[in-house]
Amino acid sequence: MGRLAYRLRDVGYAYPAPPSPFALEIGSLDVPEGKTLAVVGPNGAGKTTLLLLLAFLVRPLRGRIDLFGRDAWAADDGGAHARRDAVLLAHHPYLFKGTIADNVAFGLKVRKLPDAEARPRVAEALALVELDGWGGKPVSGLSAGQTQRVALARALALRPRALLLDEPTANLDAALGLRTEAVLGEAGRTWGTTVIFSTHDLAQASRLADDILYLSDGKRAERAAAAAFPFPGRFC
Amino acid sequence: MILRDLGLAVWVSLKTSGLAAVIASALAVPAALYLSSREFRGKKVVLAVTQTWMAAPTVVIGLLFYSLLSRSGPLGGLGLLYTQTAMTVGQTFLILPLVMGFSYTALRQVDRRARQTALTLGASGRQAGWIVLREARFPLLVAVLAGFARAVSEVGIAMMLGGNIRNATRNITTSIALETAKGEFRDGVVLGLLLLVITLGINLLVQSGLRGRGGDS
Repeated sequence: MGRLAYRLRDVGYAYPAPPSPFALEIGSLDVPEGKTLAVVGPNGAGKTTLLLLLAFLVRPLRGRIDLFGRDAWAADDGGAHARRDAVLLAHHPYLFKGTIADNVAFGLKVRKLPDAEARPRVAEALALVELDGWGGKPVSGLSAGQTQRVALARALALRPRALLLDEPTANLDAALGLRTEAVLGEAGRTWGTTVIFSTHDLAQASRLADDILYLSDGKRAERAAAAAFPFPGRFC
Repeated sequence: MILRDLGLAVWVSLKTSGLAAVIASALAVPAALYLSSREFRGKKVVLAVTQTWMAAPTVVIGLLFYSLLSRSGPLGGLGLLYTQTAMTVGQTFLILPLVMGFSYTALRQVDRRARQTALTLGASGRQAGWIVLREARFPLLVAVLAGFARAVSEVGIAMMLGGNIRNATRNITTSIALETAKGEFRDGVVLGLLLLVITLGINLLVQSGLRGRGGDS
């Protein structure tokens, strides 16, 4: 096994307030760098919570999450350093007010990339999601599918080392979903990006992922290579 | 009322109330950002106090600061009574809860995903806070302008802490009170209309400035 992108040990998280008594417990989880992991399981299994933990947007109550060999929460920066390497594309992504290009360039500006470098990156990312020439349009009025594609372009523009996606094709029609899968595969191959995504679509999981992690009631129930994953059919 | 006196009264109104709006916004908007993004014990009490404070009569605030700033008061040594500074301090205190309450509401209405999105794209906590403020810029502007409007139109604080001194602390509203007391109702009404026109002009100016920066309302 090569270098690990993620290494989780005894990670626990629970939502602090009612009405949700949900808790996530992950004893051990390793994700090798450059690999693609699909997280599957029924609604409420903890898929989104796991992605939030992996994106360092919530802090585990206990346990340790290493990102590329570093304990991400050890530095007293609230996970800020780790978030520069791991980007989450949410199930219902939010676009900032302004133009599509403003949104796609957001992370690049935060990283203080010069305009001369940022502009081609924005154009490249928009081309990847087939929105060439849409940069100047305002985000107001975009459909759910277009919003999803802009958000994906915004994440891809950063060429993140780890890309986390919460049901990335849920808002897309079948053809666009397949093209998005191709883009994600391309990101993995071109930039060595580690991709972790949640899905209810087992066929998609087996098409796209190297490994599949099955969560149930907030716990790791099963993990197997995509080709060998048993298809229980109980959580489709 | 001679033109020079009128010009000075307008200037005093704009200066004292404008400063009050700026100071109150500088205090209230960060406080509202903190309140809107965090849950803590006592938050409901803070909000209840803020909402109650909004209803405080200007004359009561004027009286409070008068007792503090008068010669025998604890801050009497500062010599601020009957100055424009005292008017600004009192008006700041008056509009602070208003700006904070409106800002809190504005920031609560920003989609909670905005902050999380900024963070996951690599923004620091401070940068994410700025993003939330930027997303709420129009309602925040309304909060600031409402604060200014409240300050520029009040008379109790200006009268009690400023003293309506000609060419020094006399502003538009104390001028209206004076003209009315003299029986010059027409002048009072004209001054009132002038106040409205000035407020309208400032609203339009600020809003067009924001639109010019690429915002949408």
